[in-house]
Amino acid sequence: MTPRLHAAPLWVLPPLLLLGLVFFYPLSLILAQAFAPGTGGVTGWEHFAHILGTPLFQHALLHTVQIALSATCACLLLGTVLALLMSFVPFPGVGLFSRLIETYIALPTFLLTLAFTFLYGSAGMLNGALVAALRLDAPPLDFLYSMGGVLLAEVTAFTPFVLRPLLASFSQFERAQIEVASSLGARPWHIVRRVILPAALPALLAGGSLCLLLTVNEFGIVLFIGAKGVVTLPMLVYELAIQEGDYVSACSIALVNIVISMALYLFYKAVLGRLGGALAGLV
Amino acid sequence: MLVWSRPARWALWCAFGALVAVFYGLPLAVIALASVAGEWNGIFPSKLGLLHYRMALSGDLRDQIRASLLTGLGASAAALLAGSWAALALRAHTEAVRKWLSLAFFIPSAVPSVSVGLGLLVAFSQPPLLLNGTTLIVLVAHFVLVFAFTFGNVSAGLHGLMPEFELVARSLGATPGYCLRRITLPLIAPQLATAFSLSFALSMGELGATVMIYPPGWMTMPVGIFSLSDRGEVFDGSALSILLILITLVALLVVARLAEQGHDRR
Amino acid sequence: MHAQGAAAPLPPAGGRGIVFDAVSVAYQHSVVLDDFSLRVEAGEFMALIGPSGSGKSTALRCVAGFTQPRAGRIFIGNSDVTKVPPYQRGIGMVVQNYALFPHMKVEDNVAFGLQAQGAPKERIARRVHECLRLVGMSAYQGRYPRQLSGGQQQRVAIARALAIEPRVLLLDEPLSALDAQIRRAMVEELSSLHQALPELTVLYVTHDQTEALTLADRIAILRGGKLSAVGPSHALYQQPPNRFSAEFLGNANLLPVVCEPASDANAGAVQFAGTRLSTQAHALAPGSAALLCVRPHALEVVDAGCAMANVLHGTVQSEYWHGEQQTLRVECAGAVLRVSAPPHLTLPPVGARISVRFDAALATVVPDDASGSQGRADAAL
Repeated sequence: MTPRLHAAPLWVLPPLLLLGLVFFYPLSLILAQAFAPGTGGVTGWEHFAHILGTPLFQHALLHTVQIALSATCACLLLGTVLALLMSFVPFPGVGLFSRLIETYIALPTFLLTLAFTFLYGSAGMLNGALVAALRLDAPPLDFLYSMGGVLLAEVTAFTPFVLRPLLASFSQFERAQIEVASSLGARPWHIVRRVILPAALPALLAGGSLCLLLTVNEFGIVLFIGAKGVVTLPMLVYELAIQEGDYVSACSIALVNIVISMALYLFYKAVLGRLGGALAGLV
Repeated sequence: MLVWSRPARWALWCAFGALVAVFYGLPLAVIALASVAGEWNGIFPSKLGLLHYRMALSGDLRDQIRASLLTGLGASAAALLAGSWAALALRAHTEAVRKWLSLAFFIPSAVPSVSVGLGLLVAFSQPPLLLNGTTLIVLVAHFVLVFAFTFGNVSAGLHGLMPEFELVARSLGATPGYCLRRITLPLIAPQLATAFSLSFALSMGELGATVMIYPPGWMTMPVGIFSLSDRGEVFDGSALSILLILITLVALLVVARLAEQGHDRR
Repeated sequence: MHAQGAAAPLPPAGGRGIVFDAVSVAYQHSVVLDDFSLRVEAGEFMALIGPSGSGKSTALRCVAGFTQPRAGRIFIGNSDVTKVPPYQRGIGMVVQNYALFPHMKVEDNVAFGLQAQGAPKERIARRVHECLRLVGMSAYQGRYPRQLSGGQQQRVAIARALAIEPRVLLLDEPLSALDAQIRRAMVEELSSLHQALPELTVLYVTHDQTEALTLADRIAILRGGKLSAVGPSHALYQQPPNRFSAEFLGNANLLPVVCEPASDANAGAVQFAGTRLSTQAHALAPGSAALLCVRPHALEVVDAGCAMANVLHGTVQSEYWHGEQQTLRVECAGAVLRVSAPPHLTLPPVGARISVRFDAALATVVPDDASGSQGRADAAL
């Protein structure tokens, strides 16, 4: 790289300083507030540890992890099925479906919850149809305002993020391998299991780790569902800060949330680093 | 080429169609339906009409549309500028420095949006930097959240750019600024367009940070939709949602078309 | 050497032979294979050659089951396999870029087919060992494909195809991706493989005539989706039935001649530039226009005063020396002849007069039709 070709190295300072002001500085304040000494001579560490010990926090952490893991597994499953069908059992117009699913990436996640109210809510279409068809007294399905509803919405919202790396990986898959495997006597399912999926492992890891990151941080869906028992870490931060004005606790919990999130992000970047190239634009 | 028998293929296509229809077709269809529904007592809505859209395009809700658009355009433009600046400036550094600075520029996307909002609240609630309660804080929040995406896209574009173009331009006597303006930026125009449209889409749908910091007069569409649904006015909320989706998609298409045209002119 | 019209339905070849019965394949609106009929005997090594787009790979893929014919039937052995999926046809396939499974070791690649079919472990281990030994890759069984060279990968691919004891072996331009030197070695290996497995029917698609001539028992030439000529390699080369085969298989000089009545039943005669030339027997009517086909290496440089038959006189246009032989271009009564001469021979310089002659037994007469319609070099099917 010729030094004269590019601007002087100091040109990177302005954006760095800007980011420092609007991002790193607030981040450091969160850190400071999380460890701020409490009332009555309680040290910062003790206060922090105390908050981590409350049932409120621990339930939120548990829910966050539960939801993230289950949603990610479901996304991986649904995404793999869809990607396999789209790549290896193609039909005319498969590109359109691909576009439809990809537009969901650009849309806010909470809209799904709104749609689900109409579809699966107690006054929704599914319940209405079941009541009419089976002549029931009351709507039978009540999973929407619970973890089930959150999961359903998150799976719908985040499967496209698994689908994209898988489709990219499958599009580069050597078709001749499938044909030769077929000629050797392997049936379609055997080929999927032993030839295609092992090759897709990096893409699955990339999609899965991105999904984990997104589901851990998901806020809009949980907010809209508003289920009593379902509180995740972002929700807890919001409630504590806005509804209760308890900034110190909010910062403590936000800190935990940030640490988990950064760890997942670094893991995702590491996986991408081994995959490289085509997925660079995903961030 | 994986499945050989026609009946098996048709069965799989039906399964695929069912999955996509249920998961991805239904939600959009239902929101669209709800946005034009007068009443919805039974399984299907009745009294279809554009009442809710008229509501949305008047008074309060129109302010929300305006707030979202201005925030989106402003934050995306600022993020594109800053992200491109950072990506271009990084090229002058060694591999090691680039790695660490890149990480620093990407980190904002690793932080949950609610925490970004919280941080801004905590940092800018007192003088001399009192942003709490102003519209600027919303712009700043969106800027922080989309910056990493513009930086990533522009970096990828620059990475894929052959260095020969700039070398030849400089050898022909172009100053750095001229080269940047006439060679580098036009050649990465597609990535700039993608960066902008992606940022805009993200900003339009942003909820987590906005709901923490928005001042009373500057409610964005997502916050508005939430408060409408919270109050039980789900039909108005649906109409606003459809508008949100349409604006986002239109913006994406327009930018994509502009980028294509720019490409063709070359 | 007669072109055969639409044949009666072909009887199955029995054993492990292949039969194409009026197979037609079309993509969108372009016809790739047009009413293609061919019979490959059990244990035979048949090469399919032809220019790009002639349909040879398509024909192979029909046998494999990857392409569905629009019309016609495919037989393997005695059974009609047209509607049978690929994994039930009992074929082994080797492709141009090997298609080894990158995440499996060599031994797992070779074992794949038998494992997929649920064979017992001992049989799998035995077959893997046998097949790797057959192709000379036993020492590499623990390696991954990325650790092997092109030639080694192709040998593993062949072992993998043979492991399932296929009825037929299909090879689609297997040597095209290899360096010229490796290719020569592999041709010899394939030849010994064919001798080691005499019951295995082999269908071999290539655009390289040398491979076809070296390896195949019979060669089928395709053009524009149709069968242009088929026959034993020697016969097809020495007595091409039509213009296209004459030009496609080996180099050919084609002189425009007029047929003359033959002096006896075992010979033929033509007239070129006022000279009467004797050729192999042909069935074309006297007086009709035809082409005399003489291969460059069949033309011998002689003195101007040579008194033998079949002497042509001309002028040297250009000369090239390339190691194993020399090539001359001789202009003779308006036509240009390519002559192959041994490398040590002293040749007249460019522009000088030269005389060449050829043996009647090495000269064929083909009809002057540019379409190269269906012809058979052997009378029997």
